[in-house]
Amino acid sequence: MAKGLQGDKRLFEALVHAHQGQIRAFLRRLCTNNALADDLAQESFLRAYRKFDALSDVGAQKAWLFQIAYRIFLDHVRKETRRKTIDDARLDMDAPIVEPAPALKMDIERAMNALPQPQRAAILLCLSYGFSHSEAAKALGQPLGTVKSHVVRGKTALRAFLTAYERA
Amino acid sequence: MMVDNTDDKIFQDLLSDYAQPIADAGFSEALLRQLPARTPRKSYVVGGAAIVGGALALRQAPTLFGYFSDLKLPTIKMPVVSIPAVDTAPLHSAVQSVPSSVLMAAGFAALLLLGLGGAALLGEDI
Repeated sequence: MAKGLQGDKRLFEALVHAHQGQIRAFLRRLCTNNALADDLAQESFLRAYRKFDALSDVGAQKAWLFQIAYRIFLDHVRKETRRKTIDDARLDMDAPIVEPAPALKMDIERAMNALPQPQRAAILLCLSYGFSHSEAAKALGQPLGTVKSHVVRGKTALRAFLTAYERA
Repeated sequence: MMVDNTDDKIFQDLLSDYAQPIADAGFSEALLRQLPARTPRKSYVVGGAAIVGGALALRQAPTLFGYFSDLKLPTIKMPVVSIPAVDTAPLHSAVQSVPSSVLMAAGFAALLLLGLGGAALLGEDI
């Protein structure tokens, strides 16, 4: 049994190395706060480690990790909502750390940050991290139709931004 | 990868910087150091209980052996069953010549063997 646990730990280590970059990027874009995002990412992986035995489908580990990370993010938002009133789910604990970047890059960031958080999450998963709509629905804990709707609306908003950007 | 049309490819390129994975920079190492030890709690409990139980049983063994050595078995007179046309006299005298304690022990051993054999056949853990 000790050998099995050693193998589990090695497997988990591989999981962390493979997905930490995307999980942290995902949480940073949801939180707009790098330090908070990394704390939530750490909490996500620790929770994943405790539940590692429950993961039966190794192929679904990426979606499973994102599901845990998103739930932890939502739990944090709910706690913060109880403390202070916020209109949307965007978290601005501290001023977001934005590196100086070309104009388009900054504007894309602003355009994405202007999207409602559920749309931003769906866009990131489906367009950037290679999730199918059904995988994203499972990761976000939302109905498939809702996720598709988020993606469509998010793309429409980004398309409008691009059109305005090109005209400017 | 679920990008299957030009439109999605444009958005993917547009968001490539925005969604870029974060460099590790020691994150994994710091996380792995924090992982709690996953000890096989169940086997420790079962093993510990087995050791304690075995020690208690061993402690009782001298008392048990003493009990059996002091045990005085009653003398049993076997009834004679006469079967016509079968001479049981030699069998009768042979049985009578065996001490009753030996007969009792043989009977107990036979029962124990039957019990163990049955459990082995049924696949029950003892």
